[in-house]
This record gives sequence, C-alpha cells and structure tokens, in this order.
Amino acid sequence: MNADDLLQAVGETRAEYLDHAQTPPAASPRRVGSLGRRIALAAAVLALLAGTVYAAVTGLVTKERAVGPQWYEVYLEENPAAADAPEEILDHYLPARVPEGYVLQHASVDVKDGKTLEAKAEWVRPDLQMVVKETEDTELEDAETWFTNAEVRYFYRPLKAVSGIGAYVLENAFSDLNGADMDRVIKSEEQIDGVDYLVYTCPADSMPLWSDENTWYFWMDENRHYLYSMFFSEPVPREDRLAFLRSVAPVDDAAWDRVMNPDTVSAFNESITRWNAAHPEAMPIAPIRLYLPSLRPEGYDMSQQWYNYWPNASLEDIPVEQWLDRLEELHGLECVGSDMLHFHLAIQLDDGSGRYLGCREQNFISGHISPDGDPYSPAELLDLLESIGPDPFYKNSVMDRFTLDGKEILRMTWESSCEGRTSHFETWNFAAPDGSILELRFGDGGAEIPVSEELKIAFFRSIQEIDPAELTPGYITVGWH
Amino acid sequence: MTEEQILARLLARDEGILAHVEAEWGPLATALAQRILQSPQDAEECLQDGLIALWDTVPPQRPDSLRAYFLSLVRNRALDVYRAEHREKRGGGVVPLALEELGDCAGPDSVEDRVGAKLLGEAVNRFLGSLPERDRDLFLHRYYFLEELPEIADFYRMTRHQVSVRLHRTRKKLKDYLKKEELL
Repeated sequence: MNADDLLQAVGETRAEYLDHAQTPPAASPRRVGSLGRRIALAAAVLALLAGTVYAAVTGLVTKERAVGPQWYEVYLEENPAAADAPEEILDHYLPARVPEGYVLQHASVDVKDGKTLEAKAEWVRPDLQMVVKETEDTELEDAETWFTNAEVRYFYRPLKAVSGIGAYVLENAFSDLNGADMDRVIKSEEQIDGVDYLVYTCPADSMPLWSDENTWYFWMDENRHYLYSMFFSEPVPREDRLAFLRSVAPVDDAAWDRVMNPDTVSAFNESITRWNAAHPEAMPIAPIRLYLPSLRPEGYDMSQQWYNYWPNASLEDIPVEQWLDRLEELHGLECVGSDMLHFHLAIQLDDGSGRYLGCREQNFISGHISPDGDPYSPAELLDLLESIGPDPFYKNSVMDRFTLDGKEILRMTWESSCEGRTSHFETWNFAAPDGSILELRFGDGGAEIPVSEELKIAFFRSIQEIDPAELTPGYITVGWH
Repeated sequence: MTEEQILARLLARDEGILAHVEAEWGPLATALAQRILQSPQDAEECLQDGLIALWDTVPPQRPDSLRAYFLSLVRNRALDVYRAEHREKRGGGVVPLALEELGDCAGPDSVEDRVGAKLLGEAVNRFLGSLPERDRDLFLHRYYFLEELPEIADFYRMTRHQVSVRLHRTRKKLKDYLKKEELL
C-alpha cells in the first residue's frame, strides 16, 4: 500500500465525515496565540556536578484523571456534550478566582470515555503579549503567555555524592527558580500511603508568579533524596491532591536511567547532527547540552532578575513547532507540555517511558554523563560545549575561548529581546577546582548598560576563592534592570 | 431537492437531474479537481466526466450519500488525470505534497487489487472514526479536499503550524493503525 493508494482510499471517506469537515467551526474567542502546547507556569533546573548526574525536569502532564482536574478547557466547538452545559461545567470546575492580571482566554472540558473529564483553563496576561514577526519559514502567531493552575512534576535525580544535599539543593533551586520567599514557605513532612513527602506550603503572595497559596509535594526516597514533586495550587481540595498523589506511579529508577542514559543522549545527538547536516536550509536543532552550575553570591536577589527575564528571542524567531516536530521525527520524543519557566519556554518531552526530558528553548535539560560512563573532565566539558556551538535560539550569538589567570574560559555572547527591548548576555564557562564547570552569566537586562569587563573579571576572580562545596546549582545573571 | 429525490430521479433515468447535480455540487467538485490539477479547464472536464460517471453507475450503485459519491467520482477522475500527466515528475500543487506526507504512513508497494483497495478504504474510514473530530476534519481538508495549509488554517482560525503539527500527529497515528491492521 503506497501513498497513492492511501490518497485514493481517503476518497472513500464516509459522507458524514465529509459533511462535518465542511461545517465551519462554531465561533469562539480567538486564541490570542499559541505555541501549540499547553503552557503553564513551572520551573525546572538542571545542575551538573562533577561525577554526578543531576537533572530536574518539569512536566506539565495533560493526562486524564478522575480526580479534581486542575486546569480546564472547554472545547465548545469540538465537544457538543460540553457545549450543552458549558455554564454548569465551568462553574463546577473553574477556580473561583482568576489570577490577578490575567484574563481568561480559553476554557474547556472534554469528556473522555464517558467518565473522565479532562478540563483545562488558560489565562493570559495581556500586557505580556508579544508581537511575532512572520517569515516565510515560520508562521508564529502572536506569542502569548498562558497561566493555568497546573500540576508540575519535578524529577530530581538524587545527588549521590553528598548525602543530605537533596534538601539543600531543593530549597535553593526552589527559591531560585520560583522566586519564593523561603522565610515564608512552610516546610513540613507528610507520609501518605507509606511514601514520605517533603511539603512546601507557600502562602499567598510568597512568590512573584502565583498570588494564590500553593503547595508542593516532594517525594523523598529512603535516602531522603527528592525524586519527585507535585505542585497544586488552590483551590484543589486536599482530598483530591492526595488522591492524585496516590494515583501516580512510583518513580522507577530503571526507567529514569533508560531515559537519561548516555547512550540515549549520544544517539540522540548523533541523529541531530545527521539531520542538521542533511538540512542546511532548516533551523538547526541544538543537541543535548549540559546546563551547568554557577555561583550565586550570597544574598543576591534572584527573584527580581528572573521576573524581569521575560521570553527571549526564541518565541519571536524560532519555529518552535518545527523544532518540536523534528524532535518527534528524530527521536520519537513527543512534546507533552510546555511551560513558561520564569518566562522561558520549557518543553517536556516524553520518550514513551513515562519519564520526561525537559528542555528549554535554548538548550536541553537532561541528565548526562559521558558516553563511556565516566564523568567528563572540565576540559572535555568545555570542548563539548564548544562543539555544540552557540545556541541557535539566541540571536547574534558568538562563541570563543580565551585565557584569564591561566584558566581557559569558553565565552558566549548573545541577545535576547522581549517587550521591545533587547538584552545582551554573556556567559563564561570554566573549570572549578573540583572538576565541575561553572557558568557565570552577565546581562544588561535590556538597560543597555553593559557589564564592564572589570566587573566580569572581578566576579570571575571572586569565584576562584570560594569553596566549590558551597556552590549551589543554578546560574546567575549579573546586570541591571 | 434532497439527495433521496436526486437519487430517485437518477434511478428513473431523468437526464435533467444532472444539471441540478452540477448546479448543486459542481462548485465544490470543481474546486477540488482544480486543486489537484491546477487547471480550470481540466477541472471542468473532470466535473463533466464525474457527471457522466454518476449517470453511468447509478444505478446499479445506490450510494448511501450521493453527494459524497459524486465528489469521489470527480476526485478520483482528477487524480487519474494527475497521475497520467505527472507520472514521471513532481510538479507544483498540493497533490505531490499530500503524497509526500502520506508517504509517512505508507509502504512502497501498491495495493494489488480492488479487494485490497476496498479493505484499505474501510480501514481508513475506521481510522477516521477513531479520531477526535478536529483532527479528522483537518485530515480530510488536507487529504480529501487537498487544501493548502493556509486555507485550512484560515478555516479553523488556527496557525499553519498548528495545522501542520496536528496533521503530522494524525499521520503518525494512521501509520500505527495501518500497521496494527496489518495493511502496512
């Protein structure tokens, strides 16, 4: 059966299908824009420490579930049953309060199998819409932000090197990425069906991004490493949360290993390389790269930085859909969700195992060790980064190497635009004494006040004096707003 | 005039009904043929061929949906003309693209006989029945009506990329389905 046969066979389509296809869709509020994926606010972090794989992946899971749906979408034009009683459904499932500053863009409830409701609601912040230019190659619509009360999954690979660091890493990552005021976060432990959870209850307004109270469940294993997390925001009732936690399959380390093993990553990168070479006319796909820890000076206020670090050029210039299509074609990685990771687009990719690779628009977040199973040396890591090259999602990116104080530094500069202003960034990647790679990131925050060379060098030199054991995963942007 | 009434007049061998069919369904059929052949004259000829074929085959055929049957006559005729004219070359237009895309879910060898073709048609209908309505509609717009992506996107107020992604996913599902049915 060849394509021609198939085309012919389509000609046998039943009349009612043809009639339906020719019926114009019912009028509904136009989506302002979509990246074609569900986007919700979430956070992800990746840190790679010497000899250790540490990966955090955010997952926006759009699975059907029988308990308290947390996000809603009414396919009024697609689901006649829902259209019959949209008010009732919306009243029942939509949260009582639309987050401040957001407007309800779209809401849907889809009845599946006659018993399960998949309901979603999406809110948009109108002031954060971006105008997207269209090119011959891409047809992105107006970019938009979506806000949903969504569940978020974190997969934290335990830091095996240091016991107990899980909590430390978690807390700093949590604060770093969510801008949470950790002094206000209530930490507790809870056992549910024999599973130990660390619970972070974040009061209303303790984070820049959520005004509601929200609760995060981090699943601890027997070594008190955090392997899993779920996030619920109000008004999901406690019994629904618990039911959902109970319904989730246990973390399967074997599956996690399979997803994150170096063979998978290497094979994937090889296929990307082949594809890029075969398609010079297309946007190159960035291979899986390492995202590396860097120093955060004590007391540096990260939350404000990230709150202002709005969607970068990728939403304007990059055919995200095309990129995602290629991921599917090359490696069978299906995008199952996308989140605004502090205003970067984060994508969750499912390889079919039920685990997720997370990636941001400028790089992949994944656990990674070198193909032969040994950790990369710093020199190898720099070579790897350099071989990957400037991220194609960055504008005007340039990569080079130079030496400072006898240390080799891989430097990359790029631009990012949002809300009508262009920010300039520069990263320095170099080896820490413990064999890890550090990344300093400097940026002008769109203020067009460049970080001076003297300041960059001062930061660089200050890091050399710090015990790497005190370093926290994440990265820092030094600059102005 | 209802389809039943049109069918009754065809069965009664009332030639005048063809003018009605042409007026009623001709524009849609011609548009479809034109998308395939990229030529108004060729499309008009296919329409006329379709009318003749309708007259010649009904009876003994008594299609459940006369309109769909007539459309498929014109469509098939247009595809036959297309194949004859483009056998050795790839030209412009949506048909080569559609074939290329459907190649994702097809094999290299043609169905050998009408039985195989019939089974494939039935399988495709079952597959279409399993799809969410929007995905089915998009699929048909692309591979039945052979519309360009911007046209489809405009109809559904979607972006071209959204349409493209959804079609891609549907083709993947079709491939899996055909494998499961051992047709691929």
